[in-house]
Amino acid sequence: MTSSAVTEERIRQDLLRPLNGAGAGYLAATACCSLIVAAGAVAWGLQIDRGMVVTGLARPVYWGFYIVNFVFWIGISHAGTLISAILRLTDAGWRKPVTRAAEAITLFALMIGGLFPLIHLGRVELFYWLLPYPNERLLWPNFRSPLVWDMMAILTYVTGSFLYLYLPLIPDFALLAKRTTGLRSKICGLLSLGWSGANYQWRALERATKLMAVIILAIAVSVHSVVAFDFSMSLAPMWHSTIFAPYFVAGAIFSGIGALVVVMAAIRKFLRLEKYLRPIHFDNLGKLLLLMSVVWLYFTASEHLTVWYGNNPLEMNVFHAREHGGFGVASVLMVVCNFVIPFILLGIRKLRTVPTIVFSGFSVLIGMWLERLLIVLPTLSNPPLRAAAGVYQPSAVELTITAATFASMALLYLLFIKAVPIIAVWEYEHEVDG
Amino acid sequence: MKLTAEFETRQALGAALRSIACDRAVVYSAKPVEFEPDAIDRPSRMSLLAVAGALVGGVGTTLFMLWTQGDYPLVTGGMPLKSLWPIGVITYETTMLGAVVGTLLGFLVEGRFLRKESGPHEALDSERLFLQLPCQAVEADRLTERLRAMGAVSVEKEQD
Repeated sequence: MTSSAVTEERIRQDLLRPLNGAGAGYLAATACCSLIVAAGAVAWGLQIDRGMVVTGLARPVYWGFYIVNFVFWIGISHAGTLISAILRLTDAGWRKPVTRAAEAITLFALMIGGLFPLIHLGRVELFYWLLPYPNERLLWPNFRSPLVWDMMAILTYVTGSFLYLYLPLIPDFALLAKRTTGLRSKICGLLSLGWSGANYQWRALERATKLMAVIILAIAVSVHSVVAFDFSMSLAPMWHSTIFAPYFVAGAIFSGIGALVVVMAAIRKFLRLEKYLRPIHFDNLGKLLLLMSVVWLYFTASEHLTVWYGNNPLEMNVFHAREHGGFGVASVLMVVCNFVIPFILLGIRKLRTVPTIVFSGFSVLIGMWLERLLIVLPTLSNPPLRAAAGVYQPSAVELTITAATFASMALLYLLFIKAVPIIAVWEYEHEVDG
Repeated sequence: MKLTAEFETRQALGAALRSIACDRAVVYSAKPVEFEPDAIDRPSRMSLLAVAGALVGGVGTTLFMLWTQGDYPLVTGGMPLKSLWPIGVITYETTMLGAVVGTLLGFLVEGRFLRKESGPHEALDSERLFLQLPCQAVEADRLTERLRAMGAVSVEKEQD
């Protein structure tokens, strides 16, 4: 065997090793996540059975944790597509060990985020009313409603993201079909669509992934814009803003990168892939995180300065609500998590190490969840009619379902890393070869 | 009949491709291999399919939405019954969805996944490169010698 052949074989063994067997730690983590997800399912069942009365949603706050989580998870989903697509289109070689982990985040976050409109609906069995077919009086759904826009945007994004993740998996499925036996080999064989490694298939794959990268970029930007339109199309104070769409998109990319850094660190540690997910990958993502932190601050400052200077009493009610009490604490925490911590840890070169980058990623995730909370709740708690103001307290059902979504993400990821190589074998070999 | 030649390096295979200049030659490998432009690649129509899908998705859905508004003229939110602004978002999304479907179709067609063609099984998990080319039985020996001379490690003959 030549030295390059030895290297390639070692890469294959390293990248396929995590698929075999499961240690006690893995089983414990899977069991723990499954338990929390099961608790979430029970809580949702309870809500379906007893109705929305089991939640803390009450006049005037009808959008609570569910919508906060919906916006948060859709934002996280931008990790994969945007990062992977931008890096693929710019031919950034360092992206190769990162892209699949990122694309998987997209799909899973979308699956989780996409559940929240259903959970929030209360009468989940009537979800099909959003589908484009006429009722018995031949009245079609209202295509001019942002709720229908949401459904179409998420449907398009899920389809595109699934294919964007699946296409580069095909050669790895073919490899797995050859290297494994029994049912796994059969399933991988089916999923590989009869991949033979012919030059026309490689060419088709390259063209398709490049095209998909362009399309998925356009879709990703539109999806979070549509989520922003859910807010900005209303005339509610501090929602009716023209910069909400780009503000949401920037926030989504920001939180997506944070999630990617955290997931990559976990994969690197628990799958012992230090050789492949190197400090340079974290460093590059850290720089992106720093850039997005500044962009986020710019949008946040623009939004708040415009409202403050306009001094519209209705908007100032909400503005002040964000500054005082519980929302005030959350606002300070949000700025600390989203700007102060990343700016110090990532901006000073000596401090920018793998642990600080991961810490910044965590910090951004907390900060961005708080940002979503601060967008949704203060506006609803402080309606234009002051006498109608109210306070929202999430119930145990909402908290359990929220916890379950984070556990779902971990569980889906735990299952995913046992099903397929988390780093594309053929892409990594190609990089080494190139 | 077809010949399957095994090569150790991309350079040797590239030289063999240039020398043989066979339109129907196929290279099999475990990872993408780049050759000189036009050595083996054919022009692609995948972008056209993506654009066609986008057009069908976007235009089709727009017309459909306008028709539904006219079919049951119900005014909502004081908006005009037929206006492109409020349906623009769905037009955009379905345009993109059409492009995604067009790209998938292009991938399946250009990758010949619908034809059930198979190559050397070992190519999926080998560092070596495999060149497969159809030939007449009378030419097989001459081509085999030529491929060996160009650096092929082994050449196998197979009846169709």
